[in-house]
Amino acid sequence: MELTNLLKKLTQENMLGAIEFASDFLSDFMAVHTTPLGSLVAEKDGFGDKIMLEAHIDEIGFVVTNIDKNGFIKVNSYGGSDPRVLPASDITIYSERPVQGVVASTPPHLSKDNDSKITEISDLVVDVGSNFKYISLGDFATLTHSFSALKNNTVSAPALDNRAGVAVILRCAELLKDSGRKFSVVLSVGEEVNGSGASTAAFSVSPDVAIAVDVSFAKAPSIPDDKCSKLGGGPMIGISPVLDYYLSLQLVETAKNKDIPYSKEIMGSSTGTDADHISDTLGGIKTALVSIPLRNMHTGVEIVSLDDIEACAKLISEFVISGGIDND
Amino acid sequence: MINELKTLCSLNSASGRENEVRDYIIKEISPYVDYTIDALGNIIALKKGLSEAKNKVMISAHMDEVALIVTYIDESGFLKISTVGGIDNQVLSGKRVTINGNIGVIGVKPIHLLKGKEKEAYPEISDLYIDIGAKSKEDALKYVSEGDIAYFLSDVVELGDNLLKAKAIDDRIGCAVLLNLIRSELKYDTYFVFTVQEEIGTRGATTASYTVAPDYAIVVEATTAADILGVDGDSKVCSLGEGAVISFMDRATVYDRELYKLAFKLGAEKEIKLQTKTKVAGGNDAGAIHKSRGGVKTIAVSVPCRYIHSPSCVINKADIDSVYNITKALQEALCID
Repeated sequence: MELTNLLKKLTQENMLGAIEFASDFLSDFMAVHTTPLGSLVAEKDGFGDKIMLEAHIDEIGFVVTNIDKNGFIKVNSYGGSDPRVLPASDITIYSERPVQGVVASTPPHLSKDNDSKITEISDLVVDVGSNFKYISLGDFATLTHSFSALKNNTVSAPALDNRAGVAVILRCAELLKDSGRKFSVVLSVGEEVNGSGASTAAFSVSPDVAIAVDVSFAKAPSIPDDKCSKLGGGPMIGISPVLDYYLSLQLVETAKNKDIPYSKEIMGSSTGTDADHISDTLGGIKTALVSIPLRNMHTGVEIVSLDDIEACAKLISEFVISGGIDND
Repeated sequence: MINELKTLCSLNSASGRENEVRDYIIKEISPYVDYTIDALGNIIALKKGLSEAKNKVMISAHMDEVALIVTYIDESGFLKISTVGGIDNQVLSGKRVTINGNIGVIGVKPIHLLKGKEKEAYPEISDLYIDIGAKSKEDALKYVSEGDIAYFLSDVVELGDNLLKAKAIDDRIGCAVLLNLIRSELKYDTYFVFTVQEEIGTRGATTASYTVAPDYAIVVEATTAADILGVDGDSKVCSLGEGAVISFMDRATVYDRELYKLAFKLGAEKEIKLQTKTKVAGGNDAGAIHKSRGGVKTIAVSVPCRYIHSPSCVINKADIDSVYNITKALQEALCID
């Protein structure tokens, strides 16, 4: 499927819709099932060591904690939404039917002195009008999904963390399906809170090697160069104590050999991604991490480059096809 | 009126660049009025009624909305901005905008990388930038220029069956009310003015009221409502669904007490839902009009509006009719005194 279209379809769905879409996509050529926690697992038999390609399919959002008959609700966070971007934002509550709302902003006349302290998410009020009657406590909500084309083959949407990673994985699956190699795909729930979706799926897949795909920081104003990579600069190959150093170096070699633009993302301890939860599952799994450069993380205006998504998929599939994961 | 309001809110007209809305209004009013456009771009129209009026009554609404202006393009292709009109910095981060049809986003430093005080405050406008995905200044200049206006990109959305959300309800609601009055049959000749530059200091109203020199003025507006969960009593200012707002005073005007009482008398007679503003806050074109020339007795009629001056203004659709009806009732009463 054409990449813009694939990404657009993935970002316009909520998590359950995205899982359904991915399941339909993969079941054409893989055996698909869901884990008890809700992660999607797809497996294909073949030769060689078993590689697990993983991306989290959950997105940050909110859960409804209070419903007021005047047409307002209150929420708590699922994952780490940036509270600074929420006032006056569009929000969608996934109730028995989708309900549109607006996150209230404090009217200036009510702010005390020069108090521009941010409103915490649990103090925010969401304005939904008469549709409050469709909403139940515990319903999930996210910033309203949209998809905008920016310049130079970049796009902006909420939930690019990590639908961009899911797009890479689905792309890899397409590229690998005729290779004859044994591989599994895992699209995990729960990354934004505790990684339980990834560790339990890795347990049941029990791969020889795992590659996790997530997003990381792309260069933008006020981000120091040592904390980010260029948007459009290709995959960020993770190097960290919890990742298999040999795998990381091999990914770098593959990028060089295949002329794929790349950068290295160096971390001193854990990675803050599902890679952390996969690598210490069972008796241990050798894990690598490939990240897509992304701007404005955890807001409704995340930005990625479609070129980077293609490059990530190319890097991973070339690496797998070349036998880079097989024990020598 | 709701469909026209939705259309008007989708047009882009910032202070000093009111062309889109002005062109739309001219096209709509031409069959019904004689009009001129003054040097600043105000539309000054005379609608003939069934008879001449004893008093010259002017009804006005402003065409401009709050927006952003591109002040500078840096070497990496990011755009620095200033506000055109009053926009609180808390509603700007992480929003989408359009500049000449190009989509951009107001970017932020990722929350994961924030240190200390950065975590506790909304970014200042001077620290904000628009990202259109450009690779460099040269690349950005293919699409945008310094001095271009960036408008909120905000869909018109119905919230439930009672509320409406859109950008620029301030003051496209006023424009919609005026357009419908112009299309209707009026008993008396009346002046209708669509002003410019309200959001940056009621400047269009200053020149238009000098030109028209009315005896009475009715300003049709949107005004701030804070009737949300957790806000009580007079802090709500006014409430959605409680009718048209008739102010007694705001930061720019002490409204004529007799006109204020007249509005409530008419409202009771004609069963039009009315409320007042329980805080001295905000200001509008009445601020310029009432002190024009030798002075003008002025009243403001407003729709209560939550999150005003943000991409997501919210009103109760039922209040629109109250605003229309009381404006018409006041116009008829004041034309003959």
